[in-house]
Amino acid sequence: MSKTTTKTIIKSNITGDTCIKISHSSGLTIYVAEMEGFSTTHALFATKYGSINTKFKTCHDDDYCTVPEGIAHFLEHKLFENEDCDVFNLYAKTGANANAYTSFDRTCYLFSCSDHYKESLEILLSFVQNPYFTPESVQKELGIIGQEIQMTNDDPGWIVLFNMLRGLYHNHPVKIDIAGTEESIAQITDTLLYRCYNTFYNLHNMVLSVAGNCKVDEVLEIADKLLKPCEYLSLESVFPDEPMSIVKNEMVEYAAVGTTMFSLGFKCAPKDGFCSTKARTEAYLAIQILANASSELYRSLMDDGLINNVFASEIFNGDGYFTIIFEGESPDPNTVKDRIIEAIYNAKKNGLDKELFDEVLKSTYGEMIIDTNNVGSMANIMLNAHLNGDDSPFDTIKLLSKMTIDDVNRFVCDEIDPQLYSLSIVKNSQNCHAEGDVQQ
Amino acid sequence: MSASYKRSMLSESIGFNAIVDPKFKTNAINVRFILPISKERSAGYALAASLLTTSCQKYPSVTLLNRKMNRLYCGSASVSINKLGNYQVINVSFSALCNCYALENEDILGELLDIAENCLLYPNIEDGGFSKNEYAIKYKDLLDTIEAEINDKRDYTLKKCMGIAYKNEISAFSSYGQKEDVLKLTPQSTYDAYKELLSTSAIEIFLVSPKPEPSVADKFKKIFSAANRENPMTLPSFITPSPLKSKPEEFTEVLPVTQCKMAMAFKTDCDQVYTMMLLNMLYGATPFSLLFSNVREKLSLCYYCLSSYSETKQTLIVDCGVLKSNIETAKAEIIKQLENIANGEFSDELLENTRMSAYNSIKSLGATSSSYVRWYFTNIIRNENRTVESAIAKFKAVTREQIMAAAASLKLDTVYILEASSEEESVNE
Repeated sequence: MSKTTTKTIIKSNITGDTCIKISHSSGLTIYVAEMEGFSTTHALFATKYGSINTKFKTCHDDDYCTVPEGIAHFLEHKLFENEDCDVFNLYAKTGANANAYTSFDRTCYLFSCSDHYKESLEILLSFVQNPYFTPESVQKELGIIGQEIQMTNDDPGWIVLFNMLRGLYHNHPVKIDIAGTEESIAQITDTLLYRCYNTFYNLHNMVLSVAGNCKVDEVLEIADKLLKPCEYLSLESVFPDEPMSIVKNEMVEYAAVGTTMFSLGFKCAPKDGFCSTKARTEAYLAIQILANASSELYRSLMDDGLINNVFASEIFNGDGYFTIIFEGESPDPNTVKDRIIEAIYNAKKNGLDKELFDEVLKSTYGEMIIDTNNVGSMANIMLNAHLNGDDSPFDTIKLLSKMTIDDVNRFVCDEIDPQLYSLSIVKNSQNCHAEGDVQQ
Repeated sequence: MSASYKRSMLSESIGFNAIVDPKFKTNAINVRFILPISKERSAGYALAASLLTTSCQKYPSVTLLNRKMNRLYCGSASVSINKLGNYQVINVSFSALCNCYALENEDILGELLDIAENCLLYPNIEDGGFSKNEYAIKYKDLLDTIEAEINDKRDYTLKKCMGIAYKNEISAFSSYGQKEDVLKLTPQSTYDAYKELLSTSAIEIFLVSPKPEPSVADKFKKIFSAANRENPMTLPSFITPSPLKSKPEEFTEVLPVTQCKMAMAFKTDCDQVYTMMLLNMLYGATPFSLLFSNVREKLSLCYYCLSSYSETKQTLIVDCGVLKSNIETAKAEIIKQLENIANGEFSDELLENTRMSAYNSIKSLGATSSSYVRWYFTNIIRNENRTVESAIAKFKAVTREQIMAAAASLKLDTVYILEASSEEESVNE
């Protein structure tokens, strides 16, 4: 365990932005960006613990512990209730706007405010470090989360995404719903919540990111006062072996939708650390050149009425998964899929358009400068950099400044296999019987 | 240097609002066209506006315009359409990085203004109508947007509830038209709608920049001088309270979904906007509100149960996701919490905490360019010269008795229920 607190100033020569990285003696890494002229403060306190972390052990455990699906999200809900009152009632006294979310690979507690940030930061650091779970409070939460699960079950965007992930991943828990199922959360107990809390809410596994109207010394003073030093636990999350093959090329489901929705995923080999950041940046540029609104592919799909203005693409990666996603609405998702695959083969054969590469590079550079001009975005940039294992929040823009079209072409040739795809489609349920499709 | 705001009139019907805040790295321009909502015309205006940022004579396709925007370091040209009372507000926005971030000394702002001029004044026209190719794309987009309304069940529920609550009023119509209105459009009629939009609407222009940019006002004066504006409307009064029905109307729609949704519209004759806003927050718009604390936390009936207030329609809407078997319990609790406020059954602490939340929200003015635009546009439509300090003082002055009276003035007008079909419900209950 680190015994001293160290501060490092990180500056981007490209954007001119600066932030401070603090390795706190408690084990926590803290990022602070003092942003002149901004009246608001945004703070994020996150643990590297999400829905995919269902099997784990620490140096104190003999065996791996396997927990029910959805427990990270359940824990997030329950942490808002401390022994005396609901945490929202504490924030109510400072006026801060507070929230939390659980994703595949993290749980994050946050607030934004324009006054009293120090008091809100004290609330944030205190409640996240003071869990209070009882059998009764666990039971009470089942109803609320059950409603949340039902809500997402009615969200076609959610359905189409998870069906695609189930089509790509045989074993990796990225394919399971973040909130779990009504059956899986019924297995959660207060004892299990404490087990997960004590494993993942260790400050060595967490990060605090504060941006906007704040002072690094003030943040540090609060951190010194409230952070409880943690023993380093050698935490190990394990994931089942995931073969580089897909489960199914196509999944069709019916729901109450007005337009047919699709999500097309290409499974790529996952990477770690800096390689992951580099691959993510290359993949991002590749899909922008291939399919953004400036591309020939986009134009031809639009001209033929195969997509509309909700068409989008993204890179989705984390521990043990890396997927390139194209999604949108289409009367004929299979033809969209064929055209995208054709464009990938074409890029592999002929390389990507250099002029488009230069334009996309300029646009991405501008996008990153714009992002650092927003308090919430800056706090998230610092948080993401840490959770992704980057040395600096400005690693991506630095990478970008050195990126060449050869790097991106190499990624397309070596990392994208057009056959490793899964196409998920959600159609209007009224067409179910008329078309005679088989429901998955 | 601190932020500044200056409003000037480019003509009787065109306001220009310049906000300078040195912390920003972008120049953001927002042009707001304001027109009465009309069943016959709103779809045409919406489609025409969407075509303005898709292409123009200089960049005659979505591809060419987007490529130009990429070369402007993530420049953007976009359109959004809202409804404000009985008016359609069409926001055409252009933004790009400031010149000091250009890697090759480009005049980014100059080029952005050139694009704005081309998009607004020189659309991509052929045979007396919008270019057929670009038209076909945006026409399909608009129809798909209408078809896809049902994809977001919460938003769909709110829209349906408002449709019933504002029945027989102009604001019951969608801000971008109904399917049957869109189907009647052609490239030519949409071009006519564009000309009408340009010549008859009231216009408010906003520029948010890190330093004064007088060339922008000059440019827009030139643009709209060339637009042959004839009989343009001036800014209307946006406050058009919705009349209360003689008895509440309840409408249930059954769909193959897992979770039921419910929206309840309450109407008031209280025109004290700060009181109504504070009441709304105390009742159901914060995570410590009465609806959150009781309907969600205490009774575990809903994952979300929120209220929102429309100042222009003087209507408060509560919406939630709920099991079919709990609908009546949730409905009763939602009404009971409102009655409790009317009876003064809320703590001083809750009222003060709600005020804190309101102050926090007001003081976040300037966090983004768009927060300035929302703030000053609200000032214009309310004809009120608010400052952060004066708005806080208004919230401070609201009394407990005023909140109780405002709650008592809210009467149930409409209940819309999106009901899960029994087959789904039996599986999930």
